[in-house]
Amino acid sequence: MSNALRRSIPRALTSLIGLLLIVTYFFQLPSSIVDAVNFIPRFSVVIVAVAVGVGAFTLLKYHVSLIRKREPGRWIYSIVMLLSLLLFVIVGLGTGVNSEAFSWIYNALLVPCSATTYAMWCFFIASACFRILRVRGKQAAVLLISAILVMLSNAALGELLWVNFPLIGSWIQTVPMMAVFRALTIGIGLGMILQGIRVLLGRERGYFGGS
Amino acid sequence: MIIQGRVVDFLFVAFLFVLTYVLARLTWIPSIRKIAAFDGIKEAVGRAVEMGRPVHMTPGTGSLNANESGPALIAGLATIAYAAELCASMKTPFIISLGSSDAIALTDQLLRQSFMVAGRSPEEYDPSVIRYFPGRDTIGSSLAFTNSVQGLMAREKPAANLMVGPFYGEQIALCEVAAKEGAIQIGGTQSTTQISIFAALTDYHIIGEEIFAAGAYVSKDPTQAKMIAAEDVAKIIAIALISLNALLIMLGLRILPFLQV
Repeated sequence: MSNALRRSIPRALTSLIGLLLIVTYFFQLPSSIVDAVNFIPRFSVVIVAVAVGVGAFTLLKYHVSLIRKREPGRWIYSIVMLLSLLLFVIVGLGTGVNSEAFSWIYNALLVPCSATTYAMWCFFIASACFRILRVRGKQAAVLLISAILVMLSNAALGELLWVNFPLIGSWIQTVPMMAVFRALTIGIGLGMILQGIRVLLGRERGYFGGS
Repeated sequence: MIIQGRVVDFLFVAFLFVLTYVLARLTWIPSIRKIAAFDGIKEAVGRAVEMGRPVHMTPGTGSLNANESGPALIAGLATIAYAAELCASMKTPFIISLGSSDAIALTDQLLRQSFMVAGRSPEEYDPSVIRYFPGRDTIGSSLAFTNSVQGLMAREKPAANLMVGPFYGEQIALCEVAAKEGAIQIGGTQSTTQISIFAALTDYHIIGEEIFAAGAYVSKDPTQAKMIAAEDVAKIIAIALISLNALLIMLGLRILPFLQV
């Protein structure tokens, strides 16, 4: 297939399907047509399902190669990863995803691991705060003062120190911050609609590559 | 027949279509103001060349099929296409962390195209630069994606980290690892609550709707620039309507019921 066709066919399909979805959203059409058009977005479920399969295969291939090469500091973890993958697949296929055994593995292994990893993010947030809140100029000073006031308004200690801290924090969040958020929301909303129109008209080409 | 309650919505979208079409046909070519973050991409790639280290790029997590993340993902991919083209022309290695399963094929195609535009043979393009880590669209959480990308950056030590697309808080952890590795960082997202994080943590950041100008800005395509101008006209009209509505409310008139026809 020529390069031009490789770009123009997906672009034409995107425009056609986008316009069909818009027409069914705004206009009253026979239910058979609406059902047929609404079925199109469900194709993404198929893509996700295939991606999971391909992902599992790639993961298997990658970690097997690490184990074969005895990659220093990594191959041991690859064994753990592969054993976990196999355990999930065997128990899931053998007993079903709603079984007690599968739920136990999920709740007793995956959930605590996920919670632990999430909890570790607090250190990243702390180090990010340290980098952000260094006073390097007037704008950084405004950021630092606002952050301190909002923190004091949210912490119980703030109200103990001065009864007006919660009021100040609330004002910062509901007046200046809300004003900025609304301005951003309007701009982003319009940006999204106009980008959609550019895609439908085939004018947004950047995501096909070759700017 | 238009569905009840959607008449005004339809008129607004139709108006935007007409406005875009009319502006695109004019001979006048608007200029897009300088956006430091997009200009910073060249600087970031240049730095990677000097340091002999790769460029890391990610369009975040989300789905092309979702209302909120889809447009931002498209903008992120347009930015990646431009950066990949620069990397290909400067023969600098790059890695792309994808958290969206439905964007894998599209990313593969755009990278092939970027190699061709950069004057390189498509055969030189190595598909393994795309690293897919399941994100929100597949497993409903971005934890696996974030941890995997953190590990990837710690191992590959990129000289530049480009993050443009849908992000929902995971960028804090990613920016911290990239900063530890000494990478220059560029970030942008459509989420209003996440923009401030990028503003605080990255060297260059894209604010608000600037993200949707990515394709037009990097391509310098006059038609796309006219469409960005249409966005500005729509914005002025929206501001005027909001102001008018505020004035009418102050005068005791409510127009909301008329807008819900």
